[in-house]
Amino acid sequence: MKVIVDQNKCVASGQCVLSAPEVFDQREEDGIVVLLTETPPEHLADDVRQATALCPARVIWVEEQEQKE
Amino acid sequence: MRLDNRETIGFDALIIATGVAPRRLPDSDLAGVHVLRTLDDALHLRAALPTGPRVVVVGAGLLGTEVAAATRTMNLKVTVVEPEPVPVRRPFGDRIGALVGELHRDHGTRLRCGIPVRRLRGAAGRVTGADLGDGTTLPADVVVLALGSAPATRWLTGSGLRLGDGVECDALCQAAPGIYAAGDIASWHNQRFCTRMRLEHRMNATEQAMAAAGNLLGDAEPFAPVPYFWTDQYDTRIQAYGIFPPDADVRIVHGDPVDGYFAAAYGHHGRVVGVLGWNTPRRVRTSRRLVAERASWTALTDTPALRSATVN
Repeated sequence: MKVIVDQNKCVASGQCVLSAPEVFDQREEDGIVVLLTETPPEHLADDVRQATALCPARVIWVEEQEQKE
Repeated sequence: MRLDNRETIGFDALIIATGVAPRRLPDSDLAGVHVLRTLDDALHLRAALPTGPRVVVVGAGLLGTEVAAATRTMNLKVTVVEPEPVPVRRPFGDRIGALVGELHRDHGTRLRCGIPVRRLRGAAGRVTGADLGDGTTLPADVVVLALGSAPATRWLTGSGLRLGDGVECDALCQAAPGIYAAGDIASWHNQRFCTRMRLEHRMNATEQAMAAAGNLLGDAEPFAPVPYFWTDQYDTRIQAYGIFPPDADVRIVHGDPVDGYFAAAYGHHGRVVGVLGWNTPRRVRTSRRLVAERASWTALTDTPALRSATVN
């Protein structure tokens, strides 16, 4: 999967870090989301989907990669 | 379930999510009087602001103070009227409430705390001001009522469901077999805090919806979140995890209010039940675990070593 975040609309709730700390962090000064990896490994996919669902500003998107035939 | 048009819908399972309705004052139908609940409410309010009206906000809870900050930032003349001695007293208590009051005064918003609004004044169908409990009248072109809200349960009268402060549910958000409630309308037993609660916060709408839907489908998982809410006012971001009982002890555990950033912990019955961050998003998020783990209040406040360890 590929993860996309919009820092301009982030409200610094930190819910993404609570859901998937290996994938998301927050800037120290204002708490805005920092993406640690754009393409997290498969075993973190559920955590990332949870972060996407919980984000109160809806600024996290996931592009699911198509399975190779 | 019968609809207004007499149509009947059968169900195997039901989720009640009709939310809350804003409280109003008599004469709320005067032009220029606003509430803020729906998208349309927000658009109407915004459309009334570019002409530079004098704004009176009735109620200094989270909504009232946010509206005041937003309209003041548009350089309007804004007065907030609140019967309690400080703003946001119910969510945050006296100490943080006083700081929020200072924040507003520093930005030129007028606060009239400790005074109730008696009635609205109007002429030719338009609001002209608000009469206050001290006998004075505040002139106003726009009045925003931020008086809190009440669960929209009237349609459930006589349904057999238990209606108290909202639809009363068990720890699974279940009101009756096959019937669940979620969001602002749902009162449920949060096992983490051993108390019944009803939350009107953005995060809870998502989290409780997921929990209620999951339990409806058989998860049988008690909904026991650490509540999260925030309010952005001027350049200040206040974030809160947990619950904030009026009789809680409050300690600053990081930073200093004088510097414009700090974290505070709230203790109740010997446990940390809430943490609040004032311009410290990362710090307050890491302190959340004190609430999640129901950390000992005395260990937090008595042990300097533990205190610094809590803010990694």
